[in-house]
Amino acid sequence: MQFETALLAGGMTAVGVYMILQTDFIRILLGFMILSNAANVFLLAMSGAPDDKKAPIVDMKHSGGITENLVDPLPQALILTAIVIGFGVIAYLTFLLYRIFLDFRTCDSATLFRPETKPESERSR
Amino acid sequence: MNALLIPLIPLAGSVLTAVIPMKGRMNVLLAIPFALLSAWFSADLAMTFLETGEHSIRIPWADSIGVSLTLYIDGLSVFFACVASFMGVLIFTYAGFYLDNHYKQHKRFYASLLLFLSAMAGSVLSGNLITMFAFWELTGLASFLLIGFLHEKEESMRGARMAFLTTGAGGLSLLAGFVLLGQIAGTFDLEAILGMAATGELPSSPLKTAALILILGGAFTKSAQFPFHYWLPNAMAAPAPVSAFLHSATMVKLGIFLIARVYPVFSFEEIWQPLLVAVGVTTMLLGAVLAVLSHKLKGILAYSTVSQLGLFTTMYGLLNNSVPFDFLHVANHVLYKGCLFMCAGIVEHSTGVKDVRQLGGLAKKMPGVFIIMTLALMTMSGVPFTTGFLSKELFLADSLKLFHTTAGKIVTVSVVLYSVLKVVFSIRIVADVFLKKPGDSSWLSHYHAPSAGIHISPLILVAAAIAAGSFLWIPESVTNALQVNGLNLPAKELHLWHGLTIEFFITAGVFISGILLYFVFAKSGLFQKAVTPDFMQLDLLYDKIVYLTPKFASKFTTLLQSERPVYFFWIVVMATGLIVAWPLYHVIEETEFSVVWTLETNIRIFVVGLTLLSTLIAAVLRQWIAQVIAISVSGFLLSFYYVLYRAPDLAMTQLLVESALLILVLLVLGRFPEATAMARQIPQKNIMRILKAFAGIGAGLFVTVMIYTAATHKADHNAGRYYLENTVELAEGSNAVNTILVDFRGLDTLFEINVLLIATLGCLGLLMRMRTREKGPVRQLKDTIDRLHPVYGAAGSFIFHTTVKILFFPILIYSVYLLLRGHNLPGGGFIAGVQTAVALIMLSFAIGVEKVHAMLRFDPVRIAAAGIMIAVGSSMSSVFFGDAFLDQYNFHFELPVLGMIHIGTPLIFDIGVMLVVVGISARIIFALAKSVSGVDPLMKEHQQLYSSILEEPVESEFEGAKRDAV
Repeated sequence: MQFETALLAGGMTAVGVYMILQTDFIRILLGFMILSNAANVFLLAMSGAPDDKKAPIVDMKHSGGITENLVDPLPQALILTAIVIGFGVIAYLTFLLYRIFLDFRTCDSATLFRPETKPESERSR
Repeated sequence: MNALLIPLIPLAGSVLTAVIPMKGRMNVLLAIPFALLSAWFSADLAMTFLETGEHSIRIPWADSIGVSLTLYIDGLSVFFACVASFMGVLIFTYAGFYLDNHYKQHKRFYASLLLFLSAMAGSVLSGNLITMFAFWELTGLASFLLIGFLHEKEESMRGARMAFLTTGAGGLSLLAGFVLLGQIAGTFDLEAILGMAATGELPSSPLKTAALILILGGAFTKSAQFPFHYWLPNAMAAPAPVSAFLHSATMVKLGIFLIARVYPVFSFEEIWQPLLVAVGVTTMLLGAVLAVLSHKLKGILAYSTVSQLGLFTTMYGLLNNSVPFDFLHVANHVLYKGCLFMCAGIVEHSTGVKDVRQLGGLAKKMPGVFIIMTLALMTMSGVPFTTGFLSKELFLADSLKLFHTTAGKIVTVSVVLYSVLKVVFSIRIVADVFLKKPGDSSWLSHYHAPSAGIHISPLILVAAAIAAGSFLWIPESVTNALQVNGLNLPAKELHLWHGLTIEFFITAGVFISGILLYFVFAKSGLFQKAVTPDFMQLDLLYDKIVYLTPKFASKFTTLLQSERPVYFFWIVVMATGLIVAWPLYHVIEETEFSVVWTLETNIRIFVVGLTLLSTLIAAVLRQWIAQVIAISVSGFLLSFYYVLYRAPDLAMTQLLVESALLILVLLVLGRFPEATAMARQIPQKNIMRILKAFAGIGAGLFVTVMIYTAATHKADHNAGRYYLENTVELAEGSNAVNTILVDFRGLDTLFEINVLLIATLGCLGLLMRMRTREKGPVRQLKDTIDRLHPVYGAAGSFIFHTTVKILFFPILIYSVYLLLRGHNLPGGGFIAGVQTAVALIMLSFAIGVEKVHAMLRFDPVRIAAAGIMIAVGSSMSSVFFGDAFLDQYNFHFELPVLGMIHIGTPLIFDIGVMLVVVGISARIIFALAKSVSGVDPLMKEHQQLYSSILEEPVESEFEGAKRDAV
């Protein structure tokens, strides 16, 4: 039973969601990072309990290879790409927030939508 | 098969005319052979058709959805194809004289005209509903291009848009109708549908009425029926050849053609007669009245076209058993209306005047046009010895036969009224344009006589109308062949003279009252000062709708949309909770709760506790730098958790990516430290804080429960087993995770590395964007860097510097080792890539970005692009050997020292992946990294691109703001 995995993913999701709901850019960014890790753990939980099992590398020393008693490799492959893509997406989010900061001079998404924060070019609309 | 050439030749011609260089009006010489060939092949088709009768030519296309390129050859389609292509030849001849050197872009004109000819021929010959729809829309497109040909004029733009929007909307309705009809019949094939209709096998369905209305919607818009008639007069902004061709002779008849085409299928429906008669009669009378009230020459003719099209609609509606000699009515209109528009074009061309009130006295100036146009007008009003007379007598006889029905009475009276008005405006045109004194003589100074050649086409048309009307030379075999099953009953005979019948007396009455009415109107001055009342000008309504639609859309969007994306997040969270919570609750009820406490479980619980603790700390802390580090700690702990889950590949990747992320976030946040400090003081209401906490806890609980129930309800069979059992045999690698990535699911990986590159380009794009605010002094940031970026403090140290230099190459070598062994042991392209990137980033901190860049020689983005090419190339290689995409090849050989070496396409693929990862990670960090060794922060050639970074007055402004606050 993977009660602790469920707790880990749940706890991280809780913190991630809470932080994403804040108005401060940095908290949103960090919340996003936590959420992407939580999603990975979620996927990992689907491979079943790892107790008494081995890594998904087939033992070639025995003829034909032994495939019994190995953990499920599929979630791992999915997570591996998810981690790297997560890096790309978080980088994009970081740059985006930085750009918004440069344009609007604020780190608070709440002020972002107040009329006086908008750049002159948009204010007239 | 030659039938296929009728649409294809003009299509090819359209492209060739557009491409082959030719100057000005000489382009007509390019275009005309294609029209001639098309006409030749349609004549050829008509000849074969007389011998062979109805048949279909089928070329398979998208058979799975029942769409094929089918031509259905029967009397109706052959007739219309001949009309279109022969008229095409005459129009091209006429246009050659009409479009002189005052016009520009002849090439575009003739190319569009040929495109139209192709689309028109295709529409009428199509034997498949979907193909017909495609050609149908193509005619609308060509019409749009041609109406808007003089696109500098506001009038042309408006006319073109109006026609396109109106007929386009009708086209959508038509498509919906065709799809419904296809559903009812089970096929889109016209021959099959008409066959079913003839034998009564077409299943009755409540959808049939809907299909009928939708299809007629298409026909009504195309044929300018009330209330869509407004586009046709506005389409007169096109040059005269276009008006004569598209908007009188051919395209507007497509709707009529369609009504005739579906006549056998729908004519027995209850709604058929009332709908068509109501629309047709309204159009007919409204058009005639508007024609009397108009003053523009082409406008009068356009409204008379509208009312004639109304007459056709009425005809098909009233006669719901069979429509005898319908082709005669259509041919009659083609002949005289095409001719009239050509003549009107000549008049407008020579005088430059559109308003008939200003014209006059042209009988002497252009006697040829005078004679031709008068004859054509006589044909229009139905003077004996013309096709107009034949047509009118025939229709009067038909409607009188049904005089005992209500519809018959209405139609007969309306047709008589319409005929009287036709006589009135025919006389008016002759009198105003040719006989009376000019109303305004200013145009006389730049009048020029029409060339002789321009008379050819209208003369041929009017001569045909009179010849056919006087001698009735149509052979019986032809009239028989043009009868269509279900549409026409076997022919009765056509006569020139029916004797002193009631129709004859009506005709005589029509002429007498028409002439009288003309004099009454002329005396009362109606022709001078008549104004079209606003309620008849539906184009004003159209303008209003076009104006209001975007307004409504913007109002509606603002209503639904929140400016703050956070609100959407709330909606998503709550909706998900509501939708999934209930079924989940049921699953939980059956779940047994049990935990087995082993040593391993205890270790995992310990790690989970630490991870959660550091995550929580991140949420609670207020210093951003501490928060970032807390998040990082949780990330690193997670990699340990992956180890406990027997996932060495994951653990390595997580560890490396976490380092790269930490550097990235620190770099960015280091750029606006003061602003981030300001953000700390954002006040927040307690109630909001509690609400957000509840949302978070709710989401967390939800995920926990979901995972727990999923884990306790495990499927017997899992997909992963397949990969484990086959990884050695099929992919020749024992590391199942890696073989999934580069082999089993290689296509996914291929797309994923593309996503990475796209995300990186997006990042760079965000840096390059134009600044939206120009404010404050722009100054170089270089001198403030060291002060602002505590992150770099360590970079200056000698120990860091030396350690990095010593470690760099061993790390690279280890990366290559990880890459090579990846197929069989933990490792692979992703891990090797991130590791190399981290090494490069470390080096850039020690020796400066510019030096590292010089060492790489290429922009890292190019490295990533090369990586994608390598990955695609290795996947493609199998294709060249005739195997499937991504099939693999392996070579094994033994080398001294290193032992057995396996080299295969998966390895090359993995190298591609590695290069992409290296390229994108390095690029992202380099874009942000500022040098600590005094060298310019970014590569010189990129300074311009990333100028916003260099010149941002951000910090200075915030310094100012802070001072003010203090």
